Amino acid sequence: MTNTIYDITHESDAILMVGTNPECAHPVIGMQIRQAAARGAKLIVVDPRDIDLAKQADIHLKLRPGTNVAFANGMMHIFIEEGLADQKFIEERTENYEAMKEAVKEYTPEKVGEICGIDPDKLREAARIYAMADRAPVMYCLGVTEHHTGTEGVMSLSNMALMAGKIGRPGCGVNPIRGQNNVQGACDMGASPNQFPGYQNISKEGIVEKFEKAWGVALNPKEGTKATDCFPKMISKEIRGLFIFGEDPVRTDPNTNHVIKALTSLDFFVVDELFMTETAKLADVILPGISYAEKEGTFTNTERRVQRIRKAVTIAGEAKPDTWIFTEIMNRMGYPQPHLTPAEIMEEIALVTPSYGGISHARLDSEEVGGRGLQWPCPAPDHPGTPIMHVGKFARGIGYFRPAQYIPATELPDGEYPLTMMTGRILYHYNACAMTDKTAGINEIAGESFIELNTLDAKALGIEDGEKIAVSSRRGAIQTTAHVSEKTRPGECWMPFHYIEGGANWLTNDALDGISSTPEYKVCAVKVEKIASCI
Amino acid sequence: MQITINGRNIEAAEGSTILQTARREGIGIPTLCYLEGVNDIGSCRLCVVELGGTQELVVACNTKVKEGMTILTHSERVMAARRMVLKLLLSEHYGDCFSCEKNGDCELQKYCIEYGVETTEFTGARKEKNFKKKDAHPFLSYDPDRCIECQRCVKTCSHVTGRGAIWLGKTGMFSIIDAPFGEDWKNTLCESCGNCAQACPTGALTVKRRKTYRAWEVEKVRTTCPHCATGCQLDLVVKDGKIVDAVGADGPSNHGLLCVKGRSGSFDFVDSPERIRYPLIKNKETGEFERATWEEALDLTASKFTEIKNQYGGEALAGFACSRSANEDIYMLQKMVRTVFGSNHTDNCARV
Amino acid sequence: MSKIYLANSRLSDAKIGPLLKKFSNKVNVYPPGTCPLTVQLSLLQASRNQTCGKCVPCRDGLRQLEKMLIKVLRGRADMDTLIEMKELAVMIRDSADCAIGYQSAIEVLEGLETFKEDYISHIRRQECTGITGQKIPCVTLCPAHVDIPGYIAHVEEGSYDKAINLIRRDNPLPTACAMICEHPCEERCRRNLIDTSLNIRGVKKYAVDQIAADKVEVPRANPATGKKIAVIGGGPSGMTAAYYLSLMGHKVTVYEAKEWLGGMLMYGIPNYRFPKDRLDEDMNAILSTGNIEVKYGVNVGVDIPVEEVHRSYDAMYVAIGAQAGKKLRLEGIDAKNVFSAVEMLDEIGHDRKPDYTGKTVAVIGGGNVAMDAARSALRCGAADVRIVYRRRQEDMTALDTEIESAVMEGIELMLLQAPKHIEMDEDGNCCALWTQPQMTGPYKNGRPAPVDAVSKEPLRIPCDVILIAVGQDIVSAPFEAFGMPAQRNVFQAGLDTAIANMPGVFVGGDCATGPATAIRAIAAGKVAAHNIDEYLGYHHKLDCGVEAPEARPNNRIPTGRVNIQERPAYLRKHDFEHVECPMTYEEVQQECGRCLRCDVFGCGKLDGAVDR
Repeated sequence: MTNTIYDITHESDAILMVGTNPECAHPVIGMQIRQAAARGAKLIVVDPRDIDLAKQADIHLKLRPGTNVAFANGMMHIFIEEGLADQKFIEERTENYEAMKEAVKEYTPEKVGEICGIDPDKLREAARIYAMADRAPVMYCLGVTEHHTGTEGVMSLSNMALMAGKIGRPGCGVNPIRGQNNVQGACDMGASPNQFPGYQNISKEGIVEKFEKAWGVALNPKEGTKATDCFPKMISKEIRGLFIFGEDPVRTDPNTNHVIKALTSLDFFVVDELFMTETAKLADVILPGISYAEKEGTFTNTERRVQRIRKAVTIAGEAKPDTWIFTEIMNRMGYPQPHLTPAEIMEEIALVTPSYGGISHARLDSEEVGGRGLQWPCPAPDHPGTPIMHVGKFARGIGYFRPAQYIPATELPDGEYPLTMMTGRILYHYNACAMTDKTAGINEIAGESFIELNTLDAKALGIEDGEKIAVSSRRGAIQTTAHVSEKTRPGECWMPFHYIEGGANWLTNDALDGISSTPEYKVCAVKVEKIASCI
Repeated sequence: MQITINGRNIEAAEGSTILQTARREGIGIPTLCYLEGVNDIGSCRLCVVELGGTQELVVACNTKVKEGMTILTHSERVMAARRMVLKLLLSEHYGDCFSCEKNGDCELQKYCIEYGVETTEFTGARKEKNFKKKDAHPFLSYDPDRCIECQRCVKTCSHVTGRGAIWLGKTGMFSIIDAPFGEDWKNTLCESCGNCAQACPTGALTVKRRKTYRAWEVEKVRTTCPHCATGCQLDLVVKDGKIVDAVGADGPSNHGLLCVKGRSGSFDFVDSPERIRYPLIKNKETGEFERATWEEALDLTASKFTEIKNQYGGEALAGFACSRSANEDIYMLQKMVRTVFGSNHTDNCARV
Repeated sequence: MSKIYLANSRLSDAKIGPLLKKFSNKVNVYPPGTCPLTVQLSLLQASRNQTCGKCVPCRDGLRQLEKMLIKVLRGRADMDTLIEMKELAVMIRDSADCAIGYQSAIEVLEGLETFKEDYISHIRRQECTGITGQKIPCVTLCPAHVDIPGYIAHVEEGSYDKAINLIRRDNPLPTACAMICEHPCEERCRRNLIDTSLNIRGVKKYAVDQIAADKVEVPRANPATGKKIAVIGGGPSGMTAAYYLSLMGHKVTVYEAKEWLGGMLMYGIPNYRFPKDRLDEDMNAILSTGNIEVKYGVNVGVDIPVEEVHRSYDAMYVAIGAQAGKKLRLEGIDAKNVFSAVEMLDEIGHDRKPDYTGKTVAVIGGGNVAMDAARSALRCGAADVRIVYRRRQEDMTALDTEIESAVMEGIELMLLQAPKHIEMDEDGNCCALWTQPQMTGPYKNGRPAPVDAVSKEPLRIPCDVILIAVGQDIVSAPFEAFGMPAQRNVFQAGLDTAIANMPGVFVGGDCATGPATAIRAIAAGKVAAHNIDEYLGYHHKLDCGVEAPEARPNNRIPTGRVNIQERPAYLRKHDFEHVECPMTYEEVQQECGRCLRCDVFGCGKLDGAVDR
């Protein structure tokens, strides 16, 4: 996020939400958006589903899944057509505007309306509300990124914010609501095939050398392979050994059958885990790590805020701190890594990561910070952190318009698989449920998988609300319970991905985003049948 | 502007309330229904103060300061009115403190002690005793016997969480909170976040597990919620080395709020029976995992990876980090992949 | 955005309306004689039922006050209970958030003062104070305690003569009261619980319209006692006293200053409201009792000293009324064509109608006399009549029906205008009334007092005639000189009409109360007659020879009240003929059928239910 949760929810005049359902996925942000709506901030919801916040929205653009780029280009077309673009901001702080103008020329509201399946007038009004508001943030989530054109979707939204001059001020910005608690930190920490900690590109001159010097060892200068691209390489035996720390790709990655095949092709597979996950079951060795409540450390939230976690308990058994495990392996594999405390590790992180340069456990625990964390970039111990990015100047200096074109989803419905299926989170569970399903009450509230079907589709198939049904795609088949409503459009359906029994990812498409290699979780073609008819 | 509190000249900020001004000056005014920024309906009348020039007592929580105001926060009239409020509240508050989960952590109890109100001459007249508890919900329960109808829960649900799942079930004499924890709890708007329970000053609306500990038996560890990326601050409540509860803390992104996962799904897993507590090595013959020592497991891991590296090069090894773990862990994981695996095949689940 | 809706008439808020009306009717008909503490309890219960439940003092405190009050009523309280009640009520008054709370507490605090004796009596003796017990509402509220259910039943039976005689047992002016009584008897009529109060005056009017009062034989008088009694003033009070004293066998001499009997009924109330020939029916019936001599044109205190009258008789009843118009201190008040309304009506009563043809008349005042003067002025040919009043319409003391009739006849009400001065032309005639516009302000003595509307300019009301109707005065001086005590001209007597330390001197009617109603004057006359008899050492019982008929079962079907119709305003405003139309037989039957016979059902059978 370029901005903070507080300023976009408390200091905005309008909020544009694209492909994000914070009430379920980020409930405490959702609560603050409800507060914003209650105090009178205008709300524009761009989502293929009737998420709850759509009820409070001034405008709900219920667009077809996978058409975000067209939507954003349409918005910009209207900015230009109606003179709503922030010319001063564009002139002073951006470049490549002419190319951008050219790129969105084709995206008339009528054309976009047709692509997205929305009313062009509503799009016009949304554009006016967003552009004319003094302060308006764009918020988005996996509904934008989890497409094979996810990167284009993100770029388009950024272009839109640039054109409206809504960057670098409170209550504005481009704000991805990151999924998992420390997904921001994981990226910051360089768990990335092409970047060292702090987004220092391997390919950039001098970076490998910098880390060779810091770590005192020769490093491989070749960019690595993204996780999602690793699975085919496992099947083709290019990758033979894998260490997974706390992930459960069998459950969370698309096309479950394919993932299992990849993992079982490995020569040697080690998992550092808390629980016997579906993935762990496939491992050769399982190393028991410890949870957030048993260790010291930091998480970095979606607003780039580094906050402390603290050890509350020690549990019975021989589980070990994960850093101890990695250190032991490093030592055993010939790298003399001393055992460091988490605070000492953070000192090392600060040394090699410019944006974390001023962050230490001592400072996070200090009165100065007062339990409010530090937002990177925080390059020095006397730097207060950066709540809002791009104030007055962009990180790269001048904001660059990167035009993007709409490309339809890779798998569109056809005669055999006539429904478009989307996936997402529900309020009560977290991802693969490894943590949340250990609470009995939560399972009592939301214990089983379901699929949301549109009333018309259900009627055509003779399916009743609450009926157990079969769902299949080109990649797999499952059984689940039908929830029949108007939440999705006719021809579209939606499933939560948390559950292994009746899990959505047996069906999802592993087509990847061309740039980020993020899977197209949000769109795949499925067929729904009554169980009696498929026996 | 200048005002006088208890004879002291005080510089007060325009637009601030008497309560805010007094608290800033360290003058304690008791409140029960007041919740800053959430509830200032002035219903408990415990914060009444005497105002120069007016016959009636005014509530400090929602009366704005005015230039030249003279305020008495602890005059005999004020103290008498506060004692009367407490006695009236006690008369409609059934159940003894001894059996209450909030014993020692109850605001009504605290003020009764402070104001020397140990009993009430009034006998309950308004509410029916032993009115049906609402406790079918897995996490939350409401006991009308202990409710003082301050409406902190109602305002929290409608104004803070923005859900509006808690309403007044009956008003007036028969006032009761319609808490959505009855038999039909599944069909309510309730999202089970429990912020209402955190707002409740008494033992009326509680998180059920609150029964398992008393305030003086626990210590609290401030940490960050492990679920989504909002970064809510919470306190893990630890009793005898076990986490028994989680409560919202005033963090920059959550302002004391938590969701159902943070409050009720953030600690049961920690010491779950399903935790893997020992290194395991799969028996190739049986396909079953067998308990191993750390030495065995680590040696096997290091030797197998070294073997593959030696035979196929570092490019044949990959290591993925978890986006749910700590920065320090992830840093060390990628350092391990880069330094000893010799590849850059490291990634996290940001993409999935 | 979620949808919003119009108010749903099926919701309870809409449905509650009729219920609240019933509630308010019920409160309005609290039976006379109810213990004040139970009324206080009802009020408190209504208060606590109105709490929204938000604030502690009101929500929980009112219920505790209620419990304490019940404790008092049950006889379980001690004097400390009153202290606790007061403490709690003070706390609620001072710390409640809204009027539901603090006003309820104020009511309790006021009640603790007002009904202090009742509280103490309940605590000390576990009993109410004095004589308590519910009474028949209409009979109790009629100052003369006429047997209303009884005569209504006779009217229903068609026995109009019996009805008239039953009325005359307590009130010898049935015709006058049929025409102009302000009917306090109707106020708490129990019929309000079902629909609305009975038109009691209407039923009575029907009876006297069927048979003139002087055609119904009066009871035979007692044998002569030889006692002589002077009645000073032949108005309703004096003639009532004369009637009963005469029936008792005493010799009565009535001193009447004017040419004919009736007092204000004759000379104050215009013919269109009470035709003079109908007044004669009552007067003739009274005189037919046989022991009454009237001395016309004798003004006691002027033509003959009070002392002389006092000396010449065994007892004396002073009932001189309030006949003089009150003066207004106003610049220009002495202009020509500025008159007292009472004098103007008196002139008309003497058949000397002024000619206001084409003139504009301003009447200052808001009472019934102002209405009478204004409507009479109209009937004297005035082109425009305006009533100028310094308060609001709802503050006027005139009956609502009188105001309504005046307005229907085209009289304009100029409200919130305080007379400032009178403008004169060069000949000294008034030509305009100047007023200072007012705004209504905080309450004083129970009603909102007007204050100058400072941002409004004075108003000029052009007019050719000004009639002052701001009240009446009592010509008390000769009697005060004789030794009768008076305060601001109003004679001071006990509830028995006797004057302390002046044996044989009794006083009643307007001159002892200030200007009031005919029925109150009649009641005083009745009381005086009985007490004079007592004073003279007798205990004469009077028998009217009529009993109330047996009661029919209650008719419980809600039925509308039949009102008396008036002649159309466009016609009636040109003459002095009676404005009211007779009721029909069917109308009066329906109206009589609504009577609940409270003298028979409910408390009516209890001892003490009827006042005499």
